Amino acid sequence: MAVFIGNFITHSVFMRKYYVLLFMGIALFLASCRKDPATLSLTVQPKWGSDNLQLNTTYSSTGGYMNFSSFGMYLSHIKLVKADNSEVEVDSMALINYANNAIKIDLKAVEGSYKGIKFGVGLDSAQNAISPAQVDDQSAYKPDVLYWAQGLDHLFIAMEGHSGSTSSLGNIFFYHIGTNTMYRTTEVDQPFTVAAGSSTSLTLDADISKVFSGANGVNVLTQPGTHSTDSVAIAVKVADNFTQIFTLQ
Amino acid sequence: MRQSSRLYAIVLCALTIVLLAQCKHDPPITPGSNGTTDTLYTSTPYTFSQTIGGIYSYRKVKVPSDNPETYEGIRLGRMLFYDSTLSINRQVSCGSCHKQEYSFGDNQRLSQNVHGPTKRNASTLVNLGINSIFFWDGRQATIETAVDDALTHEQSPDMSALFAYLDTTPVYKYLFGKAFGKPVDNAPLVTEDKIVKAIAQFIRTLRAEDSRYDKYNRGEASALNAGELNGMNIFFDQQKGDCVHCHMDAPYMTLANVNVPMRNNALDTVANVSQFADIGYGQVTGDISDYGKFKIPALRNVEVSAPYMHDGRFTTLEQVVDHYGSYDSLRKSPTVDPLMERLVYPNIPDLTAQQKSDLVAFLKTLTDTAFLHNPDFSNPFH
Repeated sequence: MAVFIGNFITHSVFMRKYYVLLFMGIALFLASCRKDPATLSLTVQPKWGSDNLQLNTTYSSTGGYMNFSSFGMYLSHIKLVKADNSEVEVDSMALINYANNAIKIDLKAVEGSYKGIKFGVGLDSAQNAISPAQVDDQSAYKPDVLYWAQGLDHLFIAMEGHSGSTSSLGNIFFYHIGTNTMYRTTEVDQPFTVAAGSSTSLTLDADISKVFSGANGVNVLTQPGTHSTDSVAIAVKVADNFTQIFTLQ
Repeated sequence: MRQSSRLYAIVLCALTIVLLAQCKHDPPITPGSNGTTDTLYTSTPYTFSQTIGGIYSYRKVKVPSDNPETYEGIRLGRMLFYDSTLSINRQVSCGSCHKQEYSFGDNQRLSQNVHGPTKRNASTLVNLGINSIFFWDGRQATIETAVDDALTHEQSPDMSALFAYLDTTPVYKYLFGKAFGKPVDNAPLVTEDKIVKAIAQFIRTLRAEDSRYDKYNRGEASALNAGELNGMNIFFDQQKGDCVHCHMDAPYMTLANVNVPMRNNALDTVANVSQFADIGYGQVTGDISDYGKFKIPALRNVEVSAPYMHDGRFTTLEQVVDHYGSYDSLRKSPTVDPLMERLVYPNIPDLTAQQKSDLVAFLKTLTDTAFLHNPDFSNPFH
């Protein structure tokens, strides 16, 4: 075999040239495969103040102590915003089903320089109308998460847990925010660039403590729950406050 | 031909073959056929509609790609389900605790396995093809792993003796061959994996979707009477029965999840979660915030599946409705469910006697009588 190959390689000058050409061709082909496209990701990190939000951990809010047993939300129509306010959508919908780990979303990497991002909290009316029956189990619209039966479509935000005037937490709370009128959009500014050959990773912090503090804060003890169809004012407050909790890094 | 061009040709051919081989899709596998035309080793695919209860449901029946349903597999699974040889003392089959007349649940408060009484009431087996959480403590995620778990822990057969029995019983020998094909390379005909898969295939066929409530949902308005309709409204009203928060999968009342499928439904008061008599899901996760949580059970055929709750503490539906129907009967604990509306709003009025009886009447419309008497599900040894 070795003799055979040796024979072949040294066969003639003409063949050697041919061989070099072949190698160049292969090299070129490989090089073209290796050109890195730009990548862009968004890591959503729920926070409580400066800490990463931990489920089943007791926090102090303006209204009282609280401890989340679950937290989830939908983000939709994530767009990159340029200095001239032109926008490009890079993801239609993402489910944030929080289990103490930040959720990383891969976005379409459209090259350019941007001043910030814009997105909806919840689902737009067309998305909200998508029934889990129409999608497969792997879909983010899947039935086991953030879905209401009884014609109310999807929950946009769900927070459930225990509360109390002392840290012993004798009470409970639940905020189920949904229905089309609760859909909100928000813009978060922090300049960044998406360039060919580089990976851009953005982190979107969502400070849940801001929902329960400030002049328009929800009081977890006196306003302990809403399904959005009752205690509507509380639901509106939660939906409005969610537009104020995001920061981009 | 010159040697070099010949080599080129060879390399080119080899490359082409490699590339084509990568493109080639695997041929569809016919279960049990193993490429043979031997009719002793071929099975007949069994198909059923993917959604239970028709257009009103959104959960789809999951059939694992490595365990497709076949008529022979289902027939084999049904025999194995009812065969008490599958236990160490040869007295306990799956059917011992999962009885058809009780929607494949158990009328005993605490079910008995080969080691004696367990600490829980056996769950019903109905419409499980759409389920992704099994056992009261939610410790399994597929029918196959759940069957294997129950076989191992509740029946604990001597596997080698069991294999020998199944391997030498003609009908089993025949069905294992038909259902799972001719073993290749001297592989055994009977394996634990095949036993589990066959039983799972049978369980997946246990579908109830023709109760009066189903008929009502399919447009037969007269299927429910006035009291039952009132009970239905109480069921869905969060300020009355508040059942819907957990049992929200309304169309066929099989399972319910919001985004947390394991819940503590205020059965016991404890100051410290370690004081729960049964910590349930906490045993699976080891997380103290999961102590005292259990799977939200199916309400399908609930009329016949008494006693109720993980420990069978309630013997009648009236007792269950009494528990949920007033603030005073709910027991607070550190993991009690945040969606129990009466605990959030203590001023919600207790259910009246009439409301309770209408609610119970509604729950009884979830019974699929044909399911309870379906001859395809019954004990083939009787």
